[in-house]
Amino acid sequence: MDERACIAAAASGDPSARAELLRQHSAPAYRFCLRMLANEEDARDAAQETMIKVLRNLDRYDPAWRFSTWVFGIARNTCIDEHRRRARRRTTSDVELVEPGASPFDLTDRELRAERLHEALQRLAPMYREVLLLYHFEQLKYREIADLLGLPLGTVMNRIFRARQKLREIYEAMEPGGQT
Amino acid sequence: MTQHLSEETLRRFTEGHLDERRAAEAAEHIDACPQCAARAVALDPLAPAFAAMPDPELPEGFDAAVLAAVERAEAREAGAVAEVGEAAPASAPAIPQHPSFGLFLTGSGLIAAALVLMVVGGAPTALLWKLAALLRAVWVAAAFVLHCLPASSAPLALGAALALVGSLAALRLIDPRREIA
Repeated sequence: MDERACIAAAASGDPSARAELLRQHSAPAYRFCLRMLANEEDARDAAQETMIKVLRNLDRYDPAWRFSTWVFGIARNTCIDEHRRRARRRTTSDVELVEPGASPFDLTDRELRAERLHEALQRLAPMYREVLLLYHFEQLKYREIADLLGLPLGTVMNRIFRARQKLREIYEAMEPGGQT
Repeated sequence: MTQHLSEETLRRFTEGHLDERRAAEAAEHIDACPQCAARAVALDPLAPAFAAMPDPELPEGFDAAVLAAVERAEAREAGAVAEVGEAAPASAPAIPQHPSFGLFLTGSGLIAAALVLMVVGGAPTALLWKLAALLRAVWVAAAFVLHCLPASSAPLALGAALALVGSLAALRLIDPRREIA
């Protein structure tokens, strides 16, 4: 079944079509929420809320969008809501929400770099973090990110350049010998 | 597809050094060209670290929980629709009930009897008049509640209220003359 037929079947309540949409889109939605929120429990709640909204609003899906981009749009809005909820119930900063990683002695060089990048991403302002996640991890196109965020293409490109620059600064400062 | 972007253009693009028009052109090209997109990503010094970041595993039972939540929500909605349907079926709109016509006849009959007795005169007149007025007051109140309130009809409500006041006055519960005095 192609994606459009699958969406139509899921919209009319077909359980196997719904399961298929979840199989394809739950993992990216969870991944995005986890990297945005840096907390497994919050990410699971946000991603589940995202997928529930997706399944219950299929009739509102506009085929002019790639379906995955539409799902990320919903995930992004859900993460923004979760950020607001979190800001109300907690006073800790994003930096403090980073989960403690494994001891550096247990990690290979490659894993250490990934761990450091994960931490650097969490220190990035959400507006920069989200564009990097969408571009680098979810492989959205510049135009799709612009449409999703409702921003001009030039603004998105500038935001990605600035995000890369800032991430690099944070990352390098965290390197051994850097000024963390 | 236009020609692939040069190494120099890609580098300047990823570093944000192209002017706005050329950057937009490069972005459009990269969006349409997987090779140039991959080359642009590879130019980022953090590319190896990005590649090394593991994809988190989806928590166990994630999809099942979503499906269950969606089905619960749909069942709730279906239940709510059924409840509304039972309360007010579209084929049988609720019709307001009229107060008993017998009560009306009794009240009116008693008033008529009271009028006859008033002509004849005597002590029973006042008693019968009060009984008749009491029944009328009950009937008017019932009519007011069952007809005027649901329909929000201001003139009917005013008329019913005046009739009720008149009946109560007849019962001497409200005596306009006493208030004026």
